[in-house]
Amino acid sequence: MSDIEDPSSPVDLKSEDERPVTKKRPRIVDPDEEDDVDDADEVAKADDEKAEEDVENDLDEDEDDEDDEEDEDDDEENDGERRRKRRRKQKRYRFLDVEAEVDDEDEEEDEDNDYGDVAEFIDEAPEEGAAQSDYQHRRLDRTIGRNEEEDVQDIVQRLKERHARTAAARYNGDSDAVPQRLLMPGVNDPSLWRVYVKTGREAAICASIFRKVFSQQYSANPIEVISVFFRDSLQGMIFLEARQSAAVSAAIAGIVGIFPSRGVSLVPIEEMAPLLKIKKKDVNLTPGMWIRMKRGKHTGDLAQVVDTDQITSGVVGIKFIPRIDLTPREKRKERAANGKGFTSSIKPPSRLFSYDDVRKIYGRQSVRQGAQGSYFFDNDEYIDGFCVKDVKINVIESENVNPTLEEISRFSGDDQSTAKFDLSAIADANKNLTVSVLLPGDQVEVYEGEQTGLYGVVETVTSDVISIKAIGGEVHDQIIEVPSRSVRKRFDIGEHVKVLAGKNQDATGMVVEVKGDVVTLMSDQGEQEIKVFSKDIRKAADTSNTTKTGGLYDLHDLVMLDSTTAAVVTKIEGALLRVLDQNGAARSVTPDQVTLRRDNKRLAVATDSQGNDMKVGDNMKETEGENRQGEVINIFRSLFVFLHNRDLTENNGVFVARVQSLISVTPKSAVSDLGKINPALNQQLPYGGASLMPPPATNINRNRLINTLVVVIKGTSKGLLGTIRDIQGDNARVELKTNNKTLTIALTSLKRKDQKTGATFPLEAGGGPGGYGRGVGAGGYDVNPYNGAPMNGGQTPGGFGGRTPAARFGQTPNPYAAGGVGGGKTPNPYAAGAGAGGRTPAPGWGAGGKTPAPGWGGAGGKTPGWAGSGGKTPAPGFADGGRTPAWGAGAAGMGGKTPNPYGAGAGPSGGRTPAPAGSTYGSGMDAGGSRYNNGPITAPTPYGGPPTVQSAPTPAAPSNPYSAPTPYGAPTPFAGPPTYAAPTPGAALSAPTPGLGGPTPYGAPTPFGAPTPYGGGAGSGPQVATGGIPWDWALDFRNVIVEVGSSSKPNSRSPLHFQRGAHDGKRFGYDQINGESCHCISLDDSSIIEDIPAEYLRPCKPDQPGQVVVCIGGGPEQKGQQRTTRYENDGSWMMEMDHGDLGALVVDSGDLCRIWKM
Amino acid sequence: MRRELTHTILLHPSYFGAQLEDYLRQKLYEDVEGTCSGKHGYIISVITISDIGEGKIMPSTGQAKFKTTYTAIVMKPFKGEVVDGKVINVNKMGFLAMVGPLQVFVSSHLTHGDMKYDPNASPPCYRSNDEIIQKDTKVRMQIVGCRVEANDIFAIGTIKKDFLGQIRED
Repeated sequence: MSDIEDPSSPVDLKSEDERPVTKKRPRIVDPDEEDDVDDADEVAKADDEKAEEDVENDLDEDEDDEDDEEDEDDDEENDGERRRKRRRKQKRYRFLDVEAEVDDEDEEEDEDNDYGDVAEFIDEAPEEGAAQSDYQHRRLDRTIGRNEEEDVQDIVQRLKERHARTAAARYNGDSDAVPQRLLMPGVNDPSLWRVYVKTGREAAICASIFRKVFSQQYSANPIEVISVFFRDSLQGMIFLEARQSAAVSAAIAGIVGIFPSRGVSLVPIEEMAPLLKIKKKDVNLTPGMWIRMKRGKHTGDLAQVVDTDQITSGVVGIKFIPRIDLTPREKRKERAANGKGFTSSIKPPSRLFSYDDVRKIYGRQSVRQGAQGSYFFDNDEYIDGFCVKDVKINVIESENVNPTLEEISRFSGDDQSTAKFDLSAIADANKNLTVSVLLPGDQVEVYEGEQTGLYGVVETVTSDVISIKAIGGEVHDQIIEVPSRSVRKRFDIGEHVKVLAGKNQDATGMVVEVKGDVVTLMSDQGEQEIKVFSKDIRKAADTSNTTKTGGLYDLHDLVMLDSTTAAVVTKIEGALLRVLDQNGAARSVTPDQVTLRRDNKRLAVATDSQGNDMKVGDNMKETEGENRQGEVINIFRSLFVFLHNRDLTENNGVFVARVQSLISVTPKSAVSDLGKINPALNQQLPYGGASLMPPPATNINRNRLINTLVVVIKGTSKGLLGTIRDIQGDNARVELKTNNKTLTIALTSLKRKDQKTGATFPLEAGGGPGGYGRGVGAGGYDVNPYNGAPMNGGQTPGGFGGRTPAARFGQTPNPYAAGGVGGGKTPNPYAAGAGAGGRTPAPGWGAGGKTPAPGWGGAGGKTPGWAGSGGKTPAPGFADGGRTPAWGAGAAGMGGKTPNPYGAGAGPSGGRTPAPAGSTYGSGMDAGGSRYNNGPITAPTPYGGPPTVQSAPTPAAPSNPYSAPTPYGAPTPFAGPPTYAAPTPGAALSAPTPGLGGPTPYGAPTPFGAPTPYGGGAGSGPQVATGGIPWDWALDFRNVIVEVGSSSKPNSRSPLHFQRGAHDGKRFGYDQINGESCHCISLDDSSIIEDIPAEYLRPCKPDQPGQVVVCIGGGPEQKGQQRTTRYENDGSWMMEMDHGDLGALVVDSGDLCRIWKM
Repeated sequence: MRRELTHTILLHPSYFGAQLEDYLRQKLYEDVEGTCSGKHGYIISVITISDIGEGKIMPSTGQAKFKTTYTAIVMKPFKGEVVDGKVINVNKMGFLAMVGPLQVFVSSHLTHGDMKYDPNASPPCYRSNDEIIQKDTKVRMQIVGCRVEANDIFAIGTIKKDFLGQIRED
């Protein structure tokens, strides 16, 4: 045997020498495979090559047949050592032998043999090329010679055995049709045994086993191991193919590095094939492709394949942004000295190569200039700033590269130039991820394959295939399956989308451009464009709560950085909040560093530099600094205002300002906001001062409540005892006795508890609001010039007059007083009205207000008190008085019964005033033959005086003979005065009524002084409406014809038109007055009877001669006169002469009103 | 476009009285005119008030609630709509134009290819051979997308089509 074998070995070698001729080609074709796949993987390569042979088979079937025959011959010729021979035979014509040639190690050959063995079971023998023919001849000779020695019986027996075994796997020789499954091992095949060995020594151990098996194969008891191999991927184990475990044990016995103790285990049949299967790596590098570096300081850096020419030798040219350490040399030394060393783990930042910079640091010699603007530095070539280098394929990673847009844009050198992006490369790099981001309902576009250009909506998604419902085209509405990697999301311009991943995660915006895979968004938050991959965005609802991402904080929320510092969220960056604090400093904080402030947006108000209030949402402008303008988004402590302006880039348009430096962009309208508690409070007070008085602090001295024992009387803690620990506004921090907890409870829910008796009392004597009221009262005194009035009044000869103010202000439980003084505080409309008394034709008092002492003093001489106090006072008393004329008139008409709530409400003096006045005047008028003479002469109120002055006026005037002659009245310069002038006669009348009024010393003096004030009154009060006639002129008259029109009352709270203008332009007559309204009867249709507020009534001017008119304007001597028109000239009427007239009376038509019923 | 809308008014008791209706009216105007809702768009002006509703006093506040029905002119932009507006802001990303109360942003991507941003001009503008778009230029745009927020609408427009762009007043 051995003598035969010996020569056979050289033959084998020889044959191997021959084979490379045929086998070289495939190796060239697939070189990288070899590179990556180590020798253990060669089995699979065998598969590949076999496939190739199969092709050959097709081509040369004759040869194949021949081979088969030979095969049979061989079988027949096999001697007793079948195994050995089979191996040899395999070696001869199984393509697998090829592997053995490459590796010249003998064990490799053995391995190959083993593989051949395996293959033999499962497949027919492939033919060999023509080059083998002489080899075959030789072999034939040899085997014939051998056969002669063999027992024919034996041969037959073996042949049968063998065929019986392989029949299942044998096929008709047409290898093309042999499916892979027939190659799979079955129960009849030898088993694979796994043996644990020392990691790293797998190859050596395999070799040892080979040697051992070989050395014993011709011995008495050969080791029946068919093959031995290991896999790189399965470190620490080798596999042996054998039929029995005993053979395995024998093979591994005595070999160092094997751990038999860990057992020899059988590899299940179904795992055998996978064990040998090679996961074929798809290393398909193309220029332009993105890869990542696996080693060195550039680990993880993105690189681009530029050159694949040398790919066969495992080298690829790539381009990447270098990381050159540009630390100055001195510093580096320093660092080295510090022990950090040169090779510190600090990665130099990646930046484009710059010749100048590098030269500066490393010196001129280190950089060499190459051709076409390239540089050589440190053995690397740099072109256009990039490092271009040939690297081994195994130091780069071509899978899961997933380059970000930022990285790629760095490659293109310029953030802006997306045009330069190699979009297909990006798409390729990101292709694998497509599936994970597709969801049913997404709009997609097929961009490659036969369905290219197809649009559709994703219906279902599986791992590789998605079905889409096509839109448009011939296949409209059909469901089509496409590979998921060939679709991309599709977005239309104008769509509202949200970014799902990447730097701009959670940003939303509208698509402004779609270019392949790159979508440009216009961000909703800031004015900026964002470029993202279409895979990273999703369509968002059109109606979006842009930043409501479930986070606790929203854009523009007011948050507290600490207890005193407020800030506004200017941007939400993922988990970080970008805030701008009240001092104008911007910073980033995490949500847990801040607390959300209670939303006070609707309530917060502040006062701007002009004293107007501003609210959230108002447009304000800075009066200083940059004069920025913006919308108020938050107000903190009525002091710091956060504003937002889209146009500003800083802090995303948010800026902070102090209230003092802000002014409203739009002038504040006089129109009151109906949403406010009480509109009257907002109306400007006439004399300015008090209205701007800041509200008194509401928590005056509340701190004294600290440490008070209280009982909770409301809420969940009702009934619990506690101690006040702190006062915060209207709330108290109460430390409960029961559980030592501290709660914040409204003061109103607390009562003081007497420790000893257990009795409860209100916390504050008057309760919260009460106390407040009183506070105002007190405050009122402070600012109220009237304070002095009582004193002055005291000196008033009138005495009563003196008392009047005293009574009013001194006694003030009267809401009026508080209201008047307190400005907007009292929720009493009257008070405000009083404050706004300027609007009322309070000529008398208004006048008084402006009047220097002479007014009164001139007559009375002793009543500077009035003048003085009046001058300073926007006081309710006066305001009241201002209204008085109305009352006066009314009272006069109604017999001084004063059915009027004002009177009652006005307090002791104010209340009574009008009535007496009216009555006093009533009598006066009576005497004067006034139309109003029905006023009862009942109220001999002496102190009716002052008010009287105003109230009495008109009626008396017309017919009062006294009025005209009054020298004082004459000078009165203005329209209002008529009202005022009246007093004169009134006074004149009242003077003689001491019987009624008692010793009213005042009556006389008053009126005379009065005229003067009018000038002031006119200036101060807007009471004069059209043509110098006060808006409520109608209340002074009766039985006149009026026209209805728009309201002439300034600052009226009433609508502009009465009943929406239903009666505008119509003429009415009236003979009764209800409050401020006139009981009007339409002239056209007497069934129309309306109570029309006086402010809507205009005098009906005479339009023909001969009409009876009354003067409603003009001087006091004129007002109230009843005349008949004679003829008109240029807007003025000449009147019929009256007896007593000295000359013709000419009156402006605007001052005339027709009399209704003659 | 006219729309029948409703609005609920809460009126403070201090307004109860003869002029109640007028207050309601006034408040309605104040409340709704110039506002914007996602559903109806901008409410430009109230034309008529069809029903002022019955007041209902709210417990605890004393305010009266009126459900008012009114007709108003509304403006709601639609995708594809061509609108005329006036440029209020020009920057490198595009320009912003106001169409009545509506802001329309035209990205530079959505302008004609030959239109270039000229940051050096004063004011900055977009310039092409025959057009110049700067602040206060009147432009005709087509709306390509709208973002509707609770109280604002923002639209993206394009002038990259025929007959869009600067409107010349000749």
